[in-house]
Parts: sequence; structure tokens; C-alpha cells
Amino acid sequence: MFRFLLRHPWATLLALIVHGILLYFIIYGFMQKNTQMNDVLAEISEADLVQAEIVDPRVSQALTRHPTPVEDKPLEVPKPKPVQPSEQQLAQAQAEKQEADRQAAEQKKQAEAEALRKQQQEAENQKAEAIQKQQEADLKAAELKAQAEQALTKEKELAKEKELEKQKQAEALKKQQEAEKQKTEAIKKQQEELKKQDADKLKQEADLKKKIEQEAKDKAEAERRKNEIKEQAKREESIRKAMQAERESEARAANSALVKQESATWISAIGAKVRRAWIKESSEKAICDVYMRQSREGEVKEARVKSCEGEASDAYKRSVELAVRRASPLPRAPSDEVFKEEIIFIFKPQ
Amino acid sequence: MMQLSGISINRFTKALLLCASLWGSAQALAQDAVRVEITGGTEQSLPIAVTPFKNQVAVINPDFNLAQIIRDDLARSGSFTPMKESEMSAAVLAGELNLDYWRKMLQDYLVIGEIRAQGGDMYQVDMRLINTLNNQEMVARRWNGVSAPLLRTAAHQMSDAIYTAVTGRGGAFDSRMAYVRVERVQGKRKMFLLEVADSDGYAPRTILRSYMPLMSVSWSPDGSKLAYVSFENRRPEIIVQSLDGRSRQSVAAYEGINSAPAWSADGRSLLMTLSKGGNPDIYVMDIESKRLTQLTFDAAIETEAVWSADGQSIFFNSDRRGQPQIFQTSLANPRDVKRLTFEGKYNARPVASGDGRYLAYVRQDIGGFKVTTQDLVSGSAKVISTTGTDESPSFSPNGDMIAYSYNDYRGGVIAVLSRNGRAFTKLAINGDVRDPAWGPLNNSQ
Repeated sequence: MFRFLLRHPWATLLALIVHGILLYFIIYGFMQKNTQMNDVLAEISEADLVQAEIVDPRVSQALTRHPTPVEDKPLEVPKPKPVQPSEQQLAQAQAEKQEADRQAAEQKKQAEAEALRKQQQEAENQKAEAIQKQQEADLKAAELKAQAEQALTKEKELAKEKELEKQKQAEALKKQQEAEKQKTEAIKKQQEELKKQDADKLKQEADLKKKIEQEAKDKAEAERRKNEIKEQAKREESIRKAMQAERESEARAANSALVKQESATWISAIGAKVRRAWIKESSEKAICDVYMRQSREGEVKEARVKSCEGEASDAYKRSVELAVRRASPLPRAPSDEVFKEEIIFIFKPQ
Repeated sequence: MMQLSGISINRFTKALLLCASLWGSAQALAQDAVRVEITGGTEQSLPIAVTPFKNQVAVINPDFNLAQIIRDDLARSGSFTPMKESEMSAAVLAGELNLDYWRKMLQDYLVIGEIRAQGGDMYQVDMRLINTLNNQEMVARRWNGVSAPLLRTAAHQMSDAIYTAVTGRGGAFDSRMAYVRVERVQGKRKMFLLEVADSDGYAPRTILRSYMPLMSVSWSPDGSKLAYVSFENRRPEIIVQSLDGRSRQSVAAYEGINSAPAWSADGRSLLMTLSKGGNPDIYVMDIESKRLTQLTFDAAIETEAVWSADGQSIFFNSDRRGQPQIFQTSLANPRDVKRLTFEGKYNARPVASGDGRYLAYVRQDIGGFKVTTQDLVSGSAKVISTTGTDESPSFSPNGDMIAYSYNDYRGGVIAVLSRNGRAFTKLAINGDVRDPAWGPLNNSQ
């Protein structure tokens, strides 16, 4: 056997390779199944891990009383972590396989004759052994699978119940919490509402106060501005008047000589008319002052004796008063500047 | 009481402050006002319009035209120039009262009136005086139950009221005048009649008729008696006669001259000129006792004495300076004689005004003998008449008018001069009249 192998290294190598490949596929297939189970268990494990974090002690006890079948799983055997070949690796492997197939074919061609019978024998043995093993493995796998599925189903149901219970409790708790929360929130809301109302009220009061203060301030400000404007207007008016007075004064100064002359002429004309109108019925010698007020047109509006020096009879006083009235209308003043509304006539008999 | 007193004082203080304030304002006003001096003036009469009295037609006698009587009175005074009725517009004559019209017509005063017949020849008369310059109603008076013969007297009273209201002096229109009228009986013999008429010469009544001259009439102050000189016994005698004729008495019929009687203001004494001492001198007689007191003692002729207004002195005519001049002496000291006239060769027949301010006499001036007035205060004299044969001046009771007589081509005429000389009016007295003597006011009787 050993010579045969030495005489046909290539065939031996090829046979090893073929067996290796078969072995690989068997192991690979088995690993695929374990990987699927690990995935499920991992999920459960994760579920357990999640359950363990729940604070509720009842759930923890329940979990403690019903250990999961995870403990029975043949996880103690180390197994390579399934690696999903990449396409490149597959291609490379395909290429290598093709090369190996080519080399094996060449070696086979070379050792075909020597090893063909033994090989076929051994192959058939191995194949039978492999089928048997495969069948056993499949059976065992099916059994494990069924157990696992049953356990998984139970676990799922339990987990579902727990989940439901948990959900119920959680929901109840949640509801309670929500109710309390709502209540608390309602109270809080009410308090907040009250606080808000108080705050609003205070705010309103503050706003009102502020508004009143603002209004008062605005009013004071408006008053101040108004006063300022008034003062300003006064100042402007005063300045305007002063300027106007100055202008008028200048104008008067400019026309002073003319006005004086016109005034003297006008007064003289008035005196002459009153003198002509003075009828002295008696020869009394009293000196009397007569106040006279006239219109712009020269119409005598008022004439009355103010005082007399010396003895004056009523008739004499009347004569001087009537002299002024009789002279009405007096000569009209040539201009407003010349015009004098009030004149005192001093009657002096010669 | 204290509180009331406090209030009173407080009010008094306030009133004082108010007065002071008003006075201050008035002073300030007076200082601001222009002052114009008026010197001179015009001495002239006042324009006045006397409109026809409403319902004048009710009075049938044309002599009783009240408006015209008033116009004539006022014109005679020389203080007024009444507007002629012919110058008034038809509207005014229809009774329209429009002061603007009168102002435009330059009439300072307006008189309006109305007559209402009350039956039985009796009338009610209203009169109003309005100052057109200040629209002041100065007089508003009513005469009730006036009989037709007294309508003229009522008109004179209206004139007096107007005169007094405007001038401030009493009127003299409602007064009477005595005078001597000379008539020719059967064309030859002269008859002297002592008559009394209204101050305007209307309504004459004869007091005495005599074929012998009558002269120098003088009124008793109460207007009830007349003293005059009568030659009825072929020599001059001083007779005192009541106006009603019930009494007539010769009070002075001394040897020689008995002339120029003049009643004292109290009616108890009579000044007169007597020559019983050989020389005409002035005496004063107590009428009741007939006791005489000699007032002048000069060898010259002293006559025509009249009383001063205060009754303490007399004015008289004396030629002690060679020519007749006016002198004054006091009753208390008759030896103290003062000469009053120095102008002209002849100044005689003095008469004093009732107010004692003026003296009127006849001066021989260029153009004849003329009535002259003299201011006794200033001493200034003024010839006021234009006629040249003037005699016997006599002051009206208010001293504003002077009646006198003069001769024109018809004989003697009595005229009235205003003292200021502005008015001259011949009285409507028929015949040859002279020696007017203006009596007191009728209401003084």
C-alpha cells in the first residue's frame, strides 16, 4: 500500500486532494447547519441577555426556574468560525481546482492503471462509510434539530408568554405610569396653569402697571414736549415781535420826520375846528380839560369834562364838552401812525 | 358786630383800592393822550330848534303860537339863535323826530312839544328839550289845565325852563314890565298911562292914567307895588301904588325935587332924590315910618340912586366932577364915595344887575346916548346899544337882558338888549312908550 503510494505519488496526491475536498464539503455542510442553529440560539441568548436586564424580579425568577436548553447544546466544541468565501477566493479556488483537476487528470492518467481498482474499492468504501456517516449525522442533526426546534418553540412560547406578561405588566405599569404621569402632568399642568395664570396675572398687572407708568411717562413726555414747543413758540414769537418792533421802530425812525409833520398838521386842524365850534355863551374864565375819544374816521365817540381850574358853571362845562362834540367829525388822520384815538383838549378862555 | 365791622372795613378798603386803581388808570390814560390847547372860542348864541307844537291848530288865536313865543323869548336873551320855522323841512314840520337831521342842521338843541285840548278852553301842554349832540333829554315837563289867556305865560315858563337848563341861569321871560305910554287925547293933549305888560310887551294892562307926566317907575321886590314919580299935583311926588289899584300913596312930596324912587331888595326902604335941603341929594326912606336918611352930602347934583345887590351900598349919578358920572357909596359910610365911570362925558341912570356883577347905564358916546354895561369885578365897560337916544335902562331879573327906551321917528320905543349885546329886540308895544322898569319874576309873587 505504502509502495503503491510511493509509485503513484501523483495519484496519491490527487486522491488526498479529492478526499480533502470531500472532507471540506462535509465539514462545510455541517458547519452551515451549526451556523444556522447558532444564529437562532444567539437570538435567544440575546433575548435572555435582554431579559436579564429587566429589573422586575419575577421575570428573573421565572427565568431562573426555567433554564433554557441552551445549556445542552454542543457548543463546547470549538469550531471554526464560518467564513463566507469571497468571490475572488472562489474564483481563485476554482482556478486552483481546475489546475488541480488538470494535474490530477494528468496524474490520474499516469496512475490510472495502478490505482484504479483500489481506488474504486476504497472510494466505494469511503463512499459507503461517508453515506452512513452522513445518514447518521443527518439523523442526529434531524434529531437535534427537532429538539432544538421543540425547545425553540417552547422557548418562543415561553418567551412569548413572558413577553406578553411583560408587555401586559409593562403596559399596565406603563398605563399606571402614564396615568400617574398624566395625573402628575395634569396636576403639574394645573399647577402650571395656575402658575401660568398667576404669572399671567402678575404679568398683566405688571404690564398694566408698566403700561400706566409708560402712559404717565408718555404723558409727561408729551407734556414736556408740549411745554417745550410752547416755550419755543413763545421764544419765537418774542423774537418775532422784537424783530417786528425793531423793524417798525426802524421804519418809524425812517418816517419820523414825516409822521411828526403830518401829526402836527392834523392836530392843528383838529384844534382849529374845535376852537371854531366852541361857543362861549358866558364870560367865565375857568380852564377845563375835556377828554375825547374818536373813531378812525374822526367821529367823536365820547367827550367829557375831566377837570377844571377855577370856578366853572355847568353851562360853561357843557360849552366845552359840546364844543368837542360839535366839531365832530374831526379832520381825518392821514395815516394810522398819526392817528390818536384819545385827545385831551385844554380849553383856555382868553 | 366786629365781623360786620371787619367786612365793612374790608369792603371800604377794596373800594378805596378800586378808586385808586381807576384814578391811576385815568391818570395814565391822560398822560398817554395827546393834549391840544383851545384858546379863545367864539362868543355867540347857541343854535336851537323849536319845532311847532303838535296840535297847535287846536289853539285858534294866532298870538298863542307857543313855539314862536319860545323862539322869540330865547332870541331876545341873546344866548340863543333859534332856527326859523321857514328853514325847517316838511318832515320836521310834520312831527318827525330825527336827531341826525338836527345835527346836520347844526342845531345843538331841539325843543318839541304837544298841545292837547282838555275842553272848556283848557289845554294840556308838554314840552321836551333835547341836546342833539349827546342825545340827552334835558327837560321834559307838562303844563296842565292852562286856560287860553295863560298859554303865553306857559310858553314863557317853557322858555325859562329851557334857558335855565342850558345856561344854568334863571330865566326872566315869565316876568312883567312896567312903562309909561304917552297918548294924545283928541290929538292934542297928552295922556300919560302907567302900564304893565308881559316881558315881551304882550298883554298890557293900564295901571294909571294921568294928564300929568309920569316917570321913574320902580317895582317893589314882590312885584305887588309900583313906585313912580307923578306930576299930578304940578310938582314931582313919589307915589307908591299897588298893582291892583286898591292902594295909592304919596310917600315923598317934599319941597323941590322928589324923584328917582328905587325899592330896596327887602321892600322896606326906598331910595329917592330930594332937594328939600336945597340941593338934590340921595335919601333913603323907611317906607313904614317914612323916616329919611340922607346918603349924599355933596354940593353937586346927586340923583338916580339904585341899590347894590347886597343892599349895603348904592350907585348914583353925580356931577360933582363937573359932569354926570356914576359913583358908589356905602350905607355904613356915606362919606366914602367911589367913582365908577371914567370914560365919556356923560354916564347917568345907573342900574345894577340882580347878581351884583354888572352895572348898566347910559353913556354919551359917539353917536349919542347909549346903553353901556360895566363889569363891576373887572371894571371893564362896554357900549352895547346901537341906538343913540337911549334912556332908562332896566335889568331883567336874571341880569341877562336890559330893557330901555329910545326915540325913533314915531316917538318913544322900548327895546330889550341882551347884556352881551348880541340881541336887540323892539318890544311890540304900540304908542309912544318910555321909562321901562323890568319887574321881578312872576313866580316870586
